[in-house]
Amino acid sequence: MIGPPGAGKSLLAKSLPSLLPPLSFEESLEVSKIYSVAGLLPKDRPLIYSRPFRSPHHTSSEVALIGGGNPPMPGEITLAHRGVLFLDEFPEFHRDVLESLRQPIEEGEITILRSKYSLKFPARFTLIAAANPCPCGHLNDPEIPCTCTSSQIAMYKRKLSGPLIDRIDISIEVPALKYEKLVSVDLNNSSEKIREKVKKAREIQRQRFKKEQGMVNSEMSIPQIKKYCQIDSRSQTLLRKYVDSGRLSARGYHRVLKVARTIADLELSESICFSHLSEALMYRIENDH
Amino acid sequence: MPLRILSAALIGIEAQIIEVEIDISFGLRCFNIVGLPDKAVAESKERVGSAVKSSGFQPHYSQPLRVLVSLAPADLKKEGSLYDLPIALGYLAASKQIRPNFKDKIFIGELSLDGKLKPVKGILPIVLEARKRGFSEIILPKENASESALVQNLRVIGVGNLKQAVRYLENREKISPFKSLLEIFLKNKPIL
Repeated sequence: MIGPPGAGKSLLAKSLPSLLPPLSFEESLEVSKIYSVAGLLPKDRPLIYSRPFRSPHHTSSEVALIGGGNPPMPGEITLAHRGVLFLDEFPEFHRDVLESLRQPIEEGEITILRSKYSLKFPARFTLIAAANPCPCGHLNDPEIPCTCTSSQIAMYKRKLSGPLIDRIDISIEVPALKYEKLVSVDLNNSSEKIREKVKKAREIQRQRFKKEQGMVNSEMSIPQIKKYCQIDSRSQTLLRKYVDSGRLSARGYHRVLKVARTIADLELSESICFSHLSEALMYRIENDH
Repeated sequence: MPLRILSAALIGIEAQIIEVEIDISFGLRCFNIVGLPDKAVAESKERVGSAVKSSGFQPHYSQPLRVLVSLAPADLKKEGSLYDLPIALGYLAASKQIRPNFKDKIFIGELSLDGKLKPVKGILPIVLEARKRGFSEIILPKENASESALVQNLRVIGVGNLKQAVRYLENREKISPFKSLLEIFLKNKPIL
Protein backbone atom coordinates (compact mmCIF):
# COMPACT_ATOMS: atom_id res chain seq x y z
CA MET A 1 0.00 0.00 0.00
CA ILE A 2 1.46 3.26 -1.09
CA GLY A 3 -0.02 6.52 0.03
CA PRO A 4 0.48 9.83 1.81
CA PRO A 5 0.56 9.98 5.61
CA GLY A 6 -2.82 9.73 7.29
CA ALA A 7 -4.64 8.24 4.33
CA GLY A 8 -5.69 5.18 6.31
CA LYS A 9 -3.13 2.58 5.32
CA SER A 10 -2.70 1.22 8.83
CA LEU A 11 -6.44 1.21 9.41
CA LEU A 12 -7.00 -0.80 6.23
CA ALA A 13 -4.35 -3.31 7.21
CA LYS A 14 -5.80 -3.75 10.67
CA SER A 15 -9.23 -4.48 9.27
CA LEU A 16 -7.98 -7.27 7.01
CA PRO A 17 -7.94 -10.07 9.61
CA SER A 18 -11.65 -9.50 10.21
CA LEU A 19 -12.33 -10.19 6.53
CA LEU A 20 -10.49 -13.47 6.50
CA PRO A 21 -12.35 -16.67 7.31
CA PRO A 22 -11.88 -17.96 10.87
CA LEU A 23 -9.17 -20.53 11.52
CA SER A 24 -10.03 -24.17 11.11
CA PHE A 25 -9.49 -26.35 14.18
CA GLU A 26 -6.19 -27.75 12.87
CA GLU A 27 -4.91 -24.28 11.99
CA SER A 28 -6.01 -23.02 15.35
CA LEU A 29 -4.08 -25.77 17.12
CA GLU A 30 -1.02 -25.00 14.99
CA VAL A 31 -1.16 -21.30 15.92
CA SER A 32 -1.83 -22.08 19.58
CA LYS A 33 1.25 -24.33 19.62
CA ILE A 34 3.42 -21.46 18.41
CA TYR A 35 1.99 -19.11 21.03
CA SER A 36 2.45 -21.78 23.71
CA VAL A 37 6.16 -22.04 22.88
CA ALA A 38 6.51 -18.27 22.86
CA GLY A 39 4.73 -18.12 26.22
CA LEU A 40 2.09 -15.79 24.79
CA LEU A 41 -0.96 -17.99 25.18
CA PRO A 42 -3.61 -16.22 27.27
CA LYS A 43 -4.37 -18.18 30.45
CA ASP A 44 -8.14 -17.94 30.24
CA ARG A 45 -8.32 -18.73 26.53
CA PRO A 46 -6.01 -21.61 25.68
CA LEU A 47 -6.98 -21.78 22.01
CA ILE A 48 -6.38 -19.01 19.52
CA TYR A 49 -9.16 -18.89 17.01
CA SER A 50 -8.86 -15.50 15.47
CA ARG A 51 -6.21 -14.97 12.84
CA PRO A 52 -3.14 -13.36 14.34
CA PHE A 53 -2.22 -9.81 13.39
CA ARG A 54 1.35 -8.76 14.07
CA SER A 55 2.78 -5.34 13.38
CA PRO A 56 6.41 -5.15 14.50
CA HIS A 57 8.05 -1.74 14.70
CA HIS A 58 10.37 -0.79 11.87
CA THR A 59 13.43 -0.85 14.12
CA SER A 60 12.92 -4.58 14.79
CA SER A 61 16.02 -6.72 14.40
CA GLU A 62 16.39 -9.69 12.12
CA VAL A 63 16.14 -12.13 15.03
CA ALA A 64 12.97 -10.48 16.32
CA LEU A 65 11.34 -10.79 12.93
CA ILE A 66 12.65 -14.11 11.64
CA GLY A 67 13.13 -15.95 14.90
CA GLY A 68 16.24 -17.29 16.56
CA GLY A 69 18.25 -16.48 19.64
CA ASN A 70 19.28 -18.94 22.30
CA PRO A 71 17.18 -20.98 22.92
CA PRO A 72 15.62 -20.41 19.47
CA MET A 73 12.29 -18.66 19.75
CA PRO A 74 9.71 -17.99 17.06
CA GLY A 75 9.92 -14.52 15.52
CA GLU A 76 7.22 -12.18 14.33
CA ILE A 77 6.77 -13.99 11.01
CA THR A 78 6.06 -17.24 12.84
CA LEU A 79 3.73 -15.51 15.28
CA ALA A 80 1.87 -14.20 12.22
CA HIS A 81 1.47 -17.77 10.87
CA ARG A 82 -1.96 -18.18 9.24
CA GLY A 83 -2.57 -14.51 9.84
CA VAL A 84 -1.34 -11.11 8.80
CA LEU A 85 2.10 -9.57 9.17
CA PHE A 86 1.84 -5.82 8.79
CA LEU A 87 5.03 -3.89 8.18
CA ASP A 88 4.26 -0.21 8.48
CA GLU A 89 6.85 2.19 7.02
CA PHE A 90 8.21 -0.68 4.95
CA PRO A 91 11.24 1.16 3.47
CA GLU A 92 12.31 2.25 6.97
CA PHE A 93 13.07 -1.35 7.99
CA HIS A 94 16.71 -2.36 7.92
CA ARG A 95 17.63 -3.72 4.57
CA ASP A 96 18.94 -7.04 5.95
CA VAL A 97 15.67 -7.57 7.77
CA LEU A 98 13.63 -7.04 4.63
CA GLU A 99 15.85 -9.25 2.50
CA SER A 100 15.62 -12.05 5.05
CA LEU A 101 11.88 -12.11 4.46
CA ARG A 102 12.42 -13.40 0.94
CA GLN A 103 12.79 -17.07 1.76
CA PRO A 104 9.88 -17.39 4.21
CA ILE A 105 7.53 -15.56 1.81
CA GLU A 106 8.35 -18.15 -0.82
CA GLU A 107 8.43 -21.29 1.30
CA GLY A 108 5.95 -20.61 4.07
CA GLU A 109 8.44 -21.65 6.71
CA ILE A 110 11.78 -20.58 8.12
CA THR A 111 14.71 -22.85 8.88
CA ILE A 112 16.98 -21.82 11.72
CA LEU A 113 20.35 -23.53 11.67
CA ARG A 114 22.43 -24.26 14.72
CA SER A 115 25.72 -26.12 14.82
CA LYS A 116 24.07 -29.20 16.30
CA TYR A 117 20.60 -29.16 14.80
CA SER A 118 18.23 -27.26 12.59
CA LEU A 119 14.76 -26.04 13.43
CA LYS A 120 11.80 -25.33 11.24
CA PHE A 121 9.24 -22.75 12.24
CA PRO A 122 6.09 -22.41 10.13
CA ALA A 123 5.60 -18.94 8.66
CA ARG A 124 2.73 -18.87 6.22
CA PHE A 125 1.51 -15.32 6.57
CA THR A 126 -0.05 -12.61 4.46
CA LEU A 127 2.40 -9.76 4.24
CA ILE A 128 1.01 -6.26 4.12
CA ALA A 129 3.50 -3.50 3.66
CA ALA A 130 2.71 0.20 3.87
CA ALA A 131 4.94 2.92 2.52
CA ASN A 132 4.86 6.57 1.56
CA PRO A 133 5.53 7.33 -2.08
CA CYS A 134 8.52 9.50 -1.11
CA PRO A 135 10.23 10.71 2.11
CA CYS A 136 7.87 13.70 2.53
CA GLY A 137 4.89 11.57 1.58
CA HIS A 138 3.21 13.82 -0.97
CA LEU A 139 4.55 12.64 -4.31
CA ASN A 140 1.75 12.69 -6.93
CA ASP A 141 -0.55 14.41 -4.43
CA PRO A 142 -2.91 16.77 -6.30
CA GLU A 143 -3.15 19.22 -3.36
CA ILE A 144 0.13 19.30 -1.48
CA PRO A 145 3.37 19.70 -3.44
CA CYS A 146 6.18 17.22 -2.86
CA THR A 147 9.27 18.78 -1.34
CA CYS A 148 11.67 15.93 -2.06
CA THR A 149 14.46 16.10 -4.59
CA SER A 150 14.49 13.50 -7.32
CA SER A 151 17.60 11.88 -5.89
CA GLN A 152 15.91 11.58 -2.49
CA ILE A 153 12.95 9.85 -4.12
CA ALA A 154 15.23 7.54 -6.07
CA MET A 155 17.12 6.64 -2.90
CA TYR A 156 13.90 5.98 -1.04
CA LYS A 157 12.70 3.63 -3.76
CA ARG A 158 16.06 1.87 -3.96
CA LYS A 159 15.64 0.66 -0.40
CA LEU A 160 13.28 -2.01 -1.69
CA SER A 161 15.19 -4.48 -3.82
CA GLY A 162 13.84 -5.87 -7.07
CA PRO A 163 13.62 -9.45 -5.79
CA LEU A 164 11.52 -8.32 -2.87
CA ILE A 165 9.20 -6.20 -5.01
CA ASP A 166 8.85 -9.18 -7.34
CA ARG A 167 7.31 -11.14 -4.49
CA ILE A 168 4.57 -8.61 -3.83
CA ASP A 169 1.41 -9.68 -5.64
CA ILE A 170 -0.88 -6.76 -5.13
CA SER A 171 0.08 -3.14 -4.82
CA ILE A 172 -2.50 -0.42 -4.34
CA GLU A 173 -2.35 3.30 -4.03
CA VAL A 174 -4.15 4.75 -1.07
CA PRO A 175 -4.82 8.41 -1.92
CA ALA A 176 -5.66 11.07 0.63
CA LEU A 177 -9.38 11.09 1.39
CA LYS A 178 -11.75 13.83 0.25
CA TYR A 179 -14.31 15.16 2.71
CA GLU A 180 -17.36 13.48 1.13
CA LYS A 181 -15.66 10.09 1.22
CA LEU A 182 -14.56 10.61 4.79
CA VAL A 183 -18.03 11.29 6.16
CA SER A 184 -20.10 9.08 3.86
CA VAL A 185 -21.30 5.69 5.00
CA ASP A 186 -20.95 3.21 2.16
CA LEU A 187 -23.12 0.24 2.94
CA ASN A 188 -22.57 -1.54 -0.35
CA ASN A 189 -19.21 -2.91 0.57
CA SER A 190 -19.55 -3.39 4.30
CA SER A 191 -17.22 -5.84 6.01
CA GLU A 192 -19.97 -8.42 6.26
CA LYS A 193 -20.62 -8.43 2.53
CA ILE A 194 -16.93 -8.71 1.72
CA ARG A 195 -16.52 -11.42 4.31
CA GLU A 196 -19.34 -13.31 2.65
CA LYS A 197 -17.56 -13.01 -0.70
CA VAL A 198 -14.29 -14.20 0.79
CA LYS A 199 -16.05 -17.11 2.40
CA LYS A 200 -17.57 -18.18 -0.92
CA ALA A 201 -14.21 -17.91 -2.69
CA ARG A 202 -12.57 -19.99 0.04
CA GLU A 203 -15.31 -22.58 -0.34
CA ILE A 204 -14.55 -22.84 -4.08
CA GLN A 205 -10.88 -23.30 -3.24
CA ARG A 206 -11.70 -25.95 -0.68
CA GLN A 207 -13.58 -27.89 -3.35
CA ARG A 208 -10.70 -27.46 -5.78
CA PHE A 209 -8.04 -28.78 -3.40
CA LYS A 210 -10.11 -31.53 -1.85
CA LYS A 211 -7.14 -33.87 -1.72
CA GLU A 212 -4.78 -31.32 -0.19
CA GLN A 213 -6.35 -30.39 3.13
CA GLY A 214 -6.73 -26.71 3.80
CA MET A 215 -4.85 -25.47 0.77
CA VAL A 216 -5.53 -22.11 -0.82
CA ASN A 217 -4.69 -20.61 -4.20
CA SER A 218 -1.50 -18.93 -3.04
CA GLU A 219 -0.02 -22.30 -2.03
CA MET A 220 -0.40 -23.85 -5.48
CA SER A 221 2.62 -25.59 -6.99
CA ILE A 222 3.54 -25.08 -10.64
CA PRO A 223 1.85 -28.29 -11.91
CA GLN A 224 -1.27 -27.24 -10.04
CA ILE A 225 -1.12 -23.77 -11.58
CA LYS A 226 -0.95 -25.42 -15.02
CA LYS A 227 -3.94 -27.53 -14.14
CA TYR A 228 -6.21 -24.97 -12.53
CA CYS A 229 -5.20 -21.68 -14.15
CA GLN A 230 -6.10 -22.17 -17.80
CA ILE A 231 -6.39 -18.89 -19.68
CA ASP A 232 -7.85 -17.97 -23.06
CA SER A 233 -5.76 -17.04 -26.10
CA ARG A 234 -6.32 -13.30 -25.67
CA SER A 235 -4.91 -13.44 -22.16
CA GLN A 236 -2.02 -15.55 -23.39
CA THR A 237 -1.09 -12.89 -25.93
CA LEU A 238 -1.13 -10.25 -23.23
CA LEU A 239 1.04 -12.32 -20.90
CA ARG A 240 3.46 -13.13 -23.72
CA LYS A 241 3.94 -9.42 -24.30
CA TYR A 242 4.67 -8.86 -20.60
CA VAL A 243 7.09 -11.76 -20.23
CA ASP A 244 8.98 -11.19 -23.50
CA SER A 245 9.49 -7.51 -22.77
CA GLY A 246 11.00 -8.40 -19.40
CA ARG A 247 8.25 -6.71 -17.39
CA LEU A 248 7.22 -9.98 -15.83
CA SER A 249 9.61 -12.54 -14.35
CA ALA A 250 8.98 -16.27 -14.35
CA ARG A 251 7.99 -16.02 -10.71
CA GLY A 252 5.84 -13.00 -11.50
CA TYR A 253 4.11 -14.96 -14.27
CA HIS A 254 3.04 -17.71 -11.87
CA ARG A 255 2.06 -15.23 -9.20
CA VAL A 256 -0.11 -13.26 -11.61
CA LEU A 257 -1.91 -16.46 -12.57
CA LYS A 258 -2.59 -17.25 -8.92
CA VAL A 259 -3.95 -13.77 -8.28
CA ALA A 260 -6.09 -13.99 -11.42
CA ARG A 261 -7.44 -17.33 -10.22
CA THR A 262 -8.40 -15.75 -6.90
CA ILE A 263 -10.09 -12.78 -8.59
CA ALA A 264 -12.07 -15.24 -10.72
CA ASP A 265 -13.02 -17.18 -7.58
CA LEU A 266 -14.20 -14.00 -5.89
CA GLU A 267 -16.48 -13.32 -8.85
CA LEU A 268 -17.62 -16.95 -8.76
CA SER A 269 -16.30 -17.51 -12.26
CA GLU A 270 -15.30 -21.01 -13.32
CA SER A 271 -12.59 -19.92 -15.76
CA ILE A 272 -10.12 -17.04 -15.69
CA CYS A 273 -11.37 -14.35 -18.08
CA PHE A 274 -9.32 -11.64 -19.75
CA SER A 275 -10.63 -9.07 -17.28
CA HIS A 276 -9.48 -11.15 -14.30
CA LEU A 277 -6.01 -11.51 -15.73
CA SER A 278 -5.63 -7.87 -16.65
CA GLU A 279 -6.79 -6.88 -13.17
CA ALA A 280 -4.14 -9.16 -11.66
CA LEU A 281 -1.49 -7.62 -13.93
CA MET A 282 -2.58 -4.14 -12.96
CA TYR A 283 -1.85 -4.90 -9.30
CA ARG A 284 1.80 -5.69 -9.92
CA ILE A 285 4.43 -3.08 -9.22
CA GLU A 286 6.20 -1.99 -12.38
CA ASN A 287 9.97 -2.13 -12.24
CA ASP A 288 10.63 1.54 -12.78
CA HIS A 289 13.94 1.69 -10.97
CA MET B 1 19.61 -49.76 39.77
CA PRO B 2 19.20 -46.30 38.29
CA LEU B 3 15.72 -44.88 38.33
CA ARG B 4 13.89 -43.84 35.17
CA ILE B 5 11.36 -41.03 34.86
CA LEU B 6 10.08 -39.37 31.70
CA SER B 7 9.95 -35.73 30.71
CA ALA B 8 9.98 -33.82 27.44
CA ALA B 9 12.06 -31.28 25.52
CA LEU B 10 11.01 -28.61 23.08
CA ILE B 11 12.63 -28.49 19.67
CA GLY B 12 11.27 -25.44 17.89
CA ILE B 13 7.52 -25.96 18.09
CA GLU B 14 7.73 -29.72 18.33
CA ALA B 15 8.38 -31.79 21.43
CA GLN B 16 10.43 -34.89 22.13
CA ILE B 17 10.18 -37.29 25.04
CA ILE B 18 13.25 -37.21 27.29
CA GLU B 19 14.36 -39.95 29.64
CA VAL B 20 15.67 -38.72 32.98
CA GLU B 21 17.82 -41.32 34.75
CA ILE B 22 18.95 -40.88 38.32
CA ASP B 23 21.62 -42.92 40.04
CA ILE B 24 22.55 -42.49 43.70
CA SER B 25 25.54 -43.98 45.46
CA PHE B 26 27.41 -43.23 48.69
CA GLY B 27 30.54 -41.16 48.38
CA LEU B 28 31.77 -37.60 48.41
CA ARG B 29 28.87 -35.19 48.09
CA CYS B 30 28.21 -34.23 44.49
CA PHE B 31 25.26 -33.68 42.15
CA ASN B 32 25.93 -33.92 38.43
CA ILE B 33 23.59 -33.45 35.49
CA VAL B 34 24.81 -34.84 32.16
CA GLY B 35 23.25 -34.88 28.71
CA LEU B 36 24.07 -31.42 27.33
CA PRO B 37 22.23 -29.32 29.92
CA ASP B 38 22.16 -25.56 29.41
CA LYS B 39 22.65 -23.18 32.32
CA ALA B 40 19.00 -23.32 33.42
CA VAL B 41 19.03 -27.12 33.49
CA ALA B 42 22.38 -27.29 35.30
CA GLU B 43 21.10 -24.89 37.96
CA SER B 44 18.21 -27.26 38.52
CA LYS B 45 20.22 -29.08 41.21
CA GLU B 46 20.20 -26.00 43.42
CA ARG B 47 16.45 -25.47 43.11
CA VAL B 48 15.76 -29.18 43.56
CA GLY B 49 17.87 -29.33 46.75
CA SER B 50 16.04 -26.46 48.41
CA ALA B 51 12.60 -27.53 47.18
CA VAL B 52 13.16 -31.04 48.56
CA LYS B 53 14.22 -29.63 51.94
CA SER B 54 11.25 -27.20 52.05
CA SER B 55 8.87 -30.04 51.30
CA GLY B 56 10.04 -31.94 54.35
CA PHE B 57 12.34 -34.50 52.74
CA GLN B 58 16.08 -35.14 53.08
CA PRO B 59 17.99 -33.10 50.47
CA HIS B 60 21.01 -34.64 48.77
CA TYR B 61 23.49 -32.38 50.53
CA SER B 62 22.47 -33.49 54.01
CA GLN B 63 23.96 -36.93 53.43
CA PRO B 64 27.17 -38.22 51.83
CA LEU B 65 25.55 -38.94 48.45
CA ARG B 66 26.74 -38.88 44.89
CA VAL B 67 23.81 -38.10 42.61
CA LEU B 68 24.08 -38.49 38.86
CA VAL B 69 21.27 -37.30 36.60
CA SER B 70 21.40 -38.26 32.94
CA LEU B 71 19.10 -36.74 30.35
CA ALA B 72 18.74 -38.97 27.30
CA PRO B 73 19.10 -38.77 24.32
CA ALA B 74 22.47 -37.42 25.42
CA ASP B 75 23.26 -35.61 22.16
CA LEU B 76 20.24 -33.31 22.27
CA LYS B 77 20.71 -29.97 23.98
CA LYS B 78 18.37 -29.62 26.97
CA GLU B 79 17.08 -26.15 27.62
CA GLY B 80 14.85 -24.55 30.19
CA SER B 81 13.71 -25.24 33.71
CA LEU B 82 11.05 -27.86 33.01
CA TYR B 83 13.19 -30.76 34.30
CA ASP B 84 13.07 -29.62 37.95
CA LEU B 85 10.03 -31.73 38.80
CA PRO B 86 11.22 -35.01 37.24
CA ILE B 87 14.70 -34.58 38.75
CA ALA B 88 13.28 -33.88 42.23
CA LEU B 89 10.83 -36.80 42.07
CA GLY B 90 13.50 -39.07 40.62
CA TYR B 91 15.90 -38.15 43.42
CA LEU B 92 13.25 -38.79 46.10
CA ALA B 93 12.40 -42.17 44.60
CA ALA B 94 16.04 -43.17 44.04
CA SER B 95 16.88 -42.30 47.64
CA LYS B 96 13.93 -44.46 48.73
CA GLN B 97 12.13 -41.57 50.46
CA ILE B 98 9.01 -42.15 48.38
CA ARG B 99 7.57 -45.14 46.50
CA PRO B 100 5.71 -43.74 43.53
CA ASN B 101 4.53 -45.22 40.27
CA PHE B 102 6.13 -43.39 37.35
CA LYS B 103 4.89 -45.73 34.65
CA ASP B 104 3.35 -44.16 31.52
CA LYS B 105 3.54 -40.68 33.02
CA ILE B 106 5.31 -37.54 31.86
CA PHE B 107 6.55 -34.90 34.28
CA ILE B 108 7.06 -31.22 33.55
CA GLY B 109 7.62 -28.28 35.86
CA GLU B 110 9.89 -25.69 37.37
CA LEU B 111 10.35 -25.68 41.14
CA SER B 112 10.74 -22.69 43.34
CA LEU B 113 12.83 -22.96 46.50
CA ASP B 114 9.77 -23.44 48.71
CA GLY B 115 8.60 -26.41 46.64
CA LYS B 116 5.91 -24.63 44.62
CA LEU B 117 5.55 -25.50 40.96
CA LYS B 118 5.93 -22.67 38.49
CA PRO B 119 4.49 -22.59 34.98
CA VAL B 120 6.73 -23.25 31.98
CA LYS B 121 6.51 -22.32 28.32
CA GLY B 122 5.52 -24.62 25.48
CA ILE B 123 3.11 -27.02 27.19
CA LEU B 124 0.83 -27.54 24.22
CA PRO B 125 3.39 -29.22 21.91
CA ILE B 126 4.50 -31.47 24.78
CA VAL B 127 0.97 -32.53 25.59
CA LEU B 128 0.26 -33.25 21.92
CA GLU B 129 3.43 -35.33 21.64
CA ALA B 130 2.59 -37.25 24.81
CA ARG B 131 -0.81 -38.12 23.45
CA LYS B 132 0.64 -39.13 20.10
CA ARG B 133 3.09 -41.49 21.80
CA GLY B 134 0.30 -43.10 23.78
CA PHE B 135 1.13 -41.95 27.30
CA SER B 136 -1.71 -42.05 29.75
CA GLU B 137 -0.90 -39.14 32.02
CA ILE B 138 1.02 -35.89 32.20
CA ILE B 139 1.82 -34.15 35.45
CA LEU B 140 2.48 -30.45 35.17
CA PRO B 141 2.16 -27.14 37.05
CA LYS B 142 -1.40 -26.21 37.89
CA GLU B 143 -1.20 -22.91 36.02
CA ASN B 144 -0.27 -24.70 32.80
CA ALA B 145 -3.16 -27.16 32.96
CA SER B 146 -5.59 -24.92 31.09
CA GLU B 147 -3.16 -24.69 28.17
CA SER B 148 -3.50 -28.40 27.60
CA ALA B 149 -7.25 -28.35 28.00
CA LEU B 150 -7.84 -28.92 24.31
CA VAL B 151 -6.26 -32.31 24.20
CA GLN B 152 -8.46 -35.32 24.66
CA ASN B 153 -7.55 -38.89 25.64
CA LEU B 154 -4.81 -37.88 28.04
CA ARG B 155 -5.10 -37.34 31.77
CA VAL B 156 -3.73 -33.90 32.59
CA ILE B 157 -2.88 -33.56 36.28
CA GLY B 158 -2.12 -30.04 37.46
CA VAL B 159 -0.26 -29.94 40.77
CA GLY B 160 0.54 -26.96 42.95
CA ASN B 161 3.72 -28.10 44.69
CA LEU B 162 6.19 -30.94 45.10
CA LYS B 163 4.50 -32.32 48.22
CA GLN B 164 1.17 -32.56 46.44
CA ALA B 165 2.82 -34.34 43.50
CA VAL B 166 4.36 -36.88 45.88
CA ARG B 167 1.06 -37.46 47.68
CA TYR B 168 -0.67 -37.95 44.36
CA LEU B 169 1.93 -40.43 43.12
CA GLU B 170 1.70 -42.44 46.35
CA ASN B 171 -2.08 -42.57 46.00
CA ARG B 172 -2.57 -40.57 49.16
CA GLU B 173 -4.37 -37.72 47.41
CA LYS B 174 -6.79 -37.74 44.51
CA ILE B 175 -6.46 -35.05 41.88
CA SER B 176 -9.08 -35.14 39.19
CA PRO B 177 -7.66 -34.68 35.70
CA PHE B 178 -8.23 -31.33 34.05
CA LYS B 179 -11.40 -31.62 32.05
CA SER B 180 -11.01 -31.21 28.32
CA LEU B 181 -12.66 -28.00 27.26
CA LEU B 182 -12.50 -28.88 23.60
CA GLU B 183 -16.21 -29.22 23.03
CA ILE B 184 -17.06 -26.07 24.92
CA PHE B 185 -14.50 -24.19 22.89
CA LEU B 186 -15.72 -25.51 19.59
CA LYS B 187 -19.29 -24.66 20.50
CA ASN B 188 -18.55 -21.14 21.63
CA LYS B 189 -16.20 -20.38 18.78
CA PRO B 190 -16.90 -16.79 17.93
CA ILE B 191 -17.67 -16.09 14.29
CA LEU B 192 -15.41 -13.23 13.41
